[in-house]
Amino acid sequence: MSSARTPDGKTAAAGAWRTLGARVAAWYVAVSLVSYVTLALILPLLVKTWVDGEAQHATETALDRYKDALEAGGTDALKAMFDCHAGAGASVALRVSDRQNVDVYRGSSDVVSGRVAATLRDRDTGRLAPERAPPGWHVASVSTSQGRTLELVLHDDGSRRAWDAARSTSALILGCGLVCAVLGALLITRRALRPLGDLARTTRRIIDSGDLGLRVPTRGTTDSLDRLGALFNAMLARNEAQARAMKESLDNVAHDLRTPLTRLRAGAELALHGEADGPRTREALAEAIEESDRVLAMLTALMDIAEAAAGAMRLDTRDEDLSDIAREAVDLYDLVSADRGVHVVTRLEPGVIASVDRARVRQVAANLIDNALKYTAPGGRVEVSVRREGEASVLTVVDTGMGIAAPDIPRVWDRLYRADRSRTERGLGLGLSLVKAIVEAHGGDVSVRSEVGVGSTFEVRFPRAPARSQSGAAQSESSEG
Amino acid sequence: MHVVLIEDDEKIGGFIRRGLTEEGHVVSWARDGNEGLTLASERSADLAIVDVMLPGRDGLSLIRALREAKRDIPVIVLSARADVEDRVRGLRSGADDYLTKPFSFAELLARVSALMRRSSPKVESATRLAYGELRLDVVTRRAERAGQPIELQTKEFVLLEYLMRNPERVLSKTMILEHVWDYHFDPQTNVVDVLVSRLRSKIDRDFPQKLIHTIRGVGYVLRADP
Repeated sequence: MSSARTPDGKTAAAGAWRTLGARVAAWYVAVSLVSYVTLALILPLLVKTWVDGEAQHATETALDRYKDALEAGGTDALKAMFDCHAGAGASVALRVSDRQNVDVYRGSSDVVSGRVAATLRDRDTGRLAPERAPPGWHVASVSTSQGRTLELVLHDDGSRRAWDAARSTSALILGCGLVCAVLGALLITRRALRPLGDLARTTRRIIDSGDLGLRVPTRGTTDSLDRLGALFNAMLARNEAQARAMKESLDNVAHDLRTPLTRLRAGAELALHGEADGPRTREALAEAIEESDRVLAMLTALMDIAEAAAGAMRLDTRDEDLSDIAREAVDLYDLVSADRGVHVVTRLEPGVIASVDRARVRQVAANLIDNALKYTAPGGRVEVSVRREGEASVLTVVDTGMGIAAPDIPRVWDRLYRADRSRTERGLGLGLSLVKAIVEAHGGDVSVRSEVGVGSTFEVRFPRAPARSQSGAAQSESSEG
Repeated sequence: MHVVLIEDDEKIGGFIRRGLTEEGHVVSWARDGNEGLTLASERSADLAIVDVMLPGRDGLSLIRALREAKRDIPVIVLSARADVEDRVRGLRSGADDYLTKPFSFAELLARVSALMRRSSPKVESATRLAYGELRLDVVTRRAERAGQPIELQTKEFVLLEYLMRNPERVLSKTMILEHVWDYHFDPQTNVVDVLVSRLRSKIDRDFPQKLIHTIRGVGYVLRADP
């Protein structure tokens, strides 16, 4: 069944992150492509504009020189200069006209073909028309102080060359950029999404193998995916601990219930061998009922302990007066203590408020008092006190009982543990374990001090009531006042 | 009295039916929730005993359906979990009382008769109780047996009144804990035994005929014959 499910699951898990990877890569390539295309379009235009500007400037500079020559040396100087200019191989055309737009001088180099020259000239005015110039031709005109107009047409192929060069460079950039974008996308996707892949693989392995000890590999960086992996590991560790605690308590419950169930079964079996309705059969039946009640009580207590230890105990916490709860528990035992000849004294500070589950903490107090009474001889004394100690609310039960030997002290909280001398006392041996489990489920702690022959002190400490309820109380007081 | 029993377990249901029939009740037994709802909705039904886990329709929704149909028949819920929350849920859904499995039959009987009394119109307001040669004045709190006054402490008085209002009926330790101390869970102590033995020493010690009897594994009963 699981083998049939595995391949599908694997493909689904891998497919999911591949899809995410493909999406990230596609977006990266698309964004890069848009940038490169924009760059490739803008670059030649910029280059062309700049080169055109330079050529126009060169044309205007040359025209200024012609004007200077004309003003200084007349038409001859102009002509000499033009011949020299055209003779150097430049594609150039020059026209000088007077106020009536009559040619004073007109010259063009051999390179300027008749077609271009015709295109450059406006038929109506006979003037050089810069707006009709094909690409690469630059036109400038200037007027002299004598009222003449100089018009110069200069051809510069640099613009076209620059345009071509810029275009091929752009194409190169575009090609390289595209390759870089694809490679970068692959690299980034692989690197960035590797933790996700690790996470998916680890989860899949845990599901397949049931091994809660597996962990996601992390690199200890502050990267958010790495932190996700670390968090995931923390959760796995917690689950593992809880599963282990659950299994242990289940084993313990099974073990602890076997003994009373064996007694129950043995008693019933023995009774079956006797007479049908004799007094011994009735006795055995009564014992069977009592034994099954004990099994039930034990099961309830063990479940409570297991739930509390696993953090699954439901607590109905409210702000409660710890002294009230202690008083109720003492009240429950007043007859028992009188019966045993043990004097119970209380020192209950009023107004010690703790955020607790009333029924559960009453159980804690009752179990502690029950325990103290059991091990205190007639004439002894049990003191129950409640006080505030800094932030904490403290419940203490002090007895003048037999005390606990030092090596046994840490074990009093263990399930079913009873010091040798207390074997004769009735009870489940779960009372103190339950106390510890309930108190710890409240976030509190338990402690015990004891001296053989002097007595024991059991102390339960609850953290202070949450600030919000205290501030709430303060608010309601201030609003009343 | 006509009791509707809604329980799918053959053995448990059989025990309850036999016991209630012996007590003189008429028992209709439904083995699933829907059939149970039909039976409990009939006018003739006086009380319903409902298991929580039922095929067809669970016990709590059955009770809710009964209450929505304005049927105020007393209901006792049988539940497998002793969880406090479950108890609260059981009572909120309209149940009048609950018992957790496993329970003693005597306790079920006692709760049945307590509910029957509560639902019957004549309220028990007697302030002077008597059983055999035992007398108890609830107002003056004076008790005597065969004319001899008996000094009682508060809890002893509460227990004696409880026993005398339920003569010849077995009261379980849980019921006594609930009644005398208002404790709704078993603190696993012998406080009830201690209270009963104190009361017994005052009532029975000087008399050959014992009135308070221990029913082992079940509870205590006030009864003239042993």
